Amino acid sequence: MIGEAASLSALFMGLFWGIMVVLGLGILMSVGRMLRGPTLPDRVVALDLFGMLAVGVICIFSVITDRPALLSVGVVMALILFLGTCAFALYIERRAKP
Amino acid sequence: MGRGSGILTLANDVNVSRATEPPVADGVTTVSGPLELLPWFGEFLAGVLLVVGALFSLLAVIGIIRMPDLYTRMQAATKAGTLGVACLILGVAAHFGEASIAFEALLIVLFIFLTTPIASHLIARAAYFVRTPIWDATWRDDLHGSYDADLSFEGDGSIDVDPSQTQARPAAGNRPPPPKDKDGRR
Repeated sequence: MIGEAASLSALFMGLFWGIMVVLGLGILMSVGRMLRGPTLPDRVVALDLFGMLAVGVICIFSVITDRPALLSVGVVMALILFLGTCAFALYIERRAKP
Repeated sequence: MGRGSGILTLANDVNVSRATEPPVADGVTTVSGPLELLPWFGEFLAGVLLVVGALFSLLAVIGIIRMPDLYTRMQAATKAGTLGVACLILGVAAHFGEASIAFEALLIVLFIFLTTPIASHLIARAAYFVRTPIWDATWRDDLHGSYDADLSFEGDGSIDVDPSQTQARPAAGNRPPPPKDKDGRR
């Protein structure tokens, strides 16, 4: 039973690191869209997705390091993400009208 | 994994080694019967939710890379990204298996569900105002002609349309849907 539990634990650690790799690839690709995106709203959408993936990375990291207090960082990050996106939308609208 | 692997705190004290021992008489920390399966069920639920969340996040990223224009990219990133991150956070909550952590995770999920549609709507509105080009194959534009005039953002927030300055949008606007080919694609 003990060995079974240890192998299950190792399996879950592998799963968490695999999800971290997937989310890291996603962050890299969204950064690529942020650098490439032809217009400013494209970059803002890529930044939005980047932030959401970062919230997911923070949650997985809190599982790996066994520190559930890191979920608060996710709350704050989601809040800042929303405010930043709203500010960018307002900026895009105002920039069109001098 | 140091922390409990159950669904709630009730199931945390039931670990694997205790399952082989005879039940303790006090009946508080030992849950006999089908509740002994709950820690495994919590891990199973966490694994499924995490895998689904990672796949939807990957789908959102693929959408933001591959989609042809801003609006389709934005709907891919918003919908798939929201569902993916929400599944990830719920999987983390199911893994920790404590009520306080689950409450915080539900708070994040609720917050994301509330704010992401608002943010993407604001971005799409701003992008439509600054005439971000629409994909050529888009044949339906419900806002065509509504915002093409001189826009004024002063006042009470409503948009005053001056009909004398109305001009056609660079995109084709509303067109009849093109005929499908034999594969059903456009």
